[in-house]
Amino acid sequence: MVDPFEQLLGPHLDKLYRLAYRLTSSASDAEDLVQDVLTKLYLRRNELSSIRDLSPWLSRVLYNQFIDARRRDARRPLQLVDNRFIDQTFAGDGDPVLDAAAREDAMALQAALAKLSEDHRVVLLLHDAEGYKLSEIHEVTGISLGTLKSRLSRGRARLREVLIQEGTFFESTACSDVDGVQIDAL
Amino acid sequence: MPCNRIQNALDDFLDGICDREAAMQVSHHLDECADCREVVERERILRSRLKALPVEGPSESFRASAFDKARSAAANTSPTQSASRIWRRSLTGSLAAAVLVLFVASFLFDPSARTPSAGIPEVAISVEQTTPVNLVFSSKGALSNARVTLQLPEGIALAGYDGRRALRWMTELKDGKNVLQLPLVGQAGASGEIVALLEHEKGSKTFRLKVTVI
Repeated sequence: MVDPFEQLLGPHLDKLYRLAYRLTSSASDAEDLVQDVLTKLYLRRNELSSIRDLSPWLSRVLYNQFIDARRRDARRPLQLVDNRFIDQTFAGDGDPVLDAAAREDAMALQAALAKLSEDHRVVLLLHDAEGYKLSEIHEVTGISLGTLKSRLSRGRARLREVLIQEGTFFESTACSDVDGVQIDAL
Repeated sequence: MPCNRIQNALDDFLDGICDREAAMQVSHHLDECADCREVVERERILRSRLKALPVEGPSESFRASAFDKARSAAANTSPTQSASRIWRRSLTGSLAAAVLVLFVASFLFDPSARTPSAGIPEVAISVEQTTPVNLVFSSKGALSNARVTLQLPEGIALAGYDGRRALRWMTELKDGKNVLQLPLVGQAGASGEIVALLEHEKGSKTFRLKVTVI
């Protein structure tokens, strides 16, 4: 017989994990974060059935756990940067030139995102990568809609800036359409 | 509508939250302005790339064991140990179960410094039990954009990184002590050297630690 706690939360596990991954950028940290949330909620399992809309509530609990963990460990002197996953994702049987280009773009994007502030990166990933609406991000984080919109706009601008500085992403897309290439003196 | 006003409205236009009139103005402008069309196209491509950013899935055992672990941890009424958090802010954290190993990364201000010629430090860890081992990088000055690469011998792994023999970090070292906590797990009979390579534009240092599983 399945434990009622597992029956209730099981369907939400994947979404929680994805959110945790976007917040932490690390599979192992995401697992830890979700695990901490499950442990915490197991102690309060009798209250869960009274929650009307469990999905956003769970997301909010996870986000708060993430913030608490960040505050406890205020500075991370050593941050893991791991491109192995991107290499595996793109090591397919397709066109090796296209695969290599896609892999490089993803790595460039990951590296650029890592240069954003956490405030910008989190909103950008939740909105543009995960498809959350700003109202949903507000529900999860408690941050006002105005602040979220501003962070999203600035996050996108900063990301563009970083990618242009790195000279990677945008130049490669310009090269893909020979007829549309315009050469400017900078 | 002039280009600068269009570009201010682009985010809302691409997000599909422009009001109808503004959306029509943007569309008309794009019909006539190649520069703004290019900006929109680049923005669309960037967003599609963001949407396509992969999410690394959890380990195979995660789904199967997550609820069991939650139940066990709750039964022990202690928080789940996040064994794969391999960083720690300072040495003032709990070191009761930790083995402390000190390395010196002093090449920034003392390029002539050499790795000590004394023997390689050794630690023993318990079989199938996570033992935190702290590497302390003592730096004479702040180092930014340094890279740490860790190579692990057969039979010894970092908890949470099963099967990974090499790991890499980009890091910034602060002046003084910087602690990297390695939660090591080992198979019975395993023994070998962990090699930590610290690289910076001004040089590199290799540190070795002999680990035996008992």
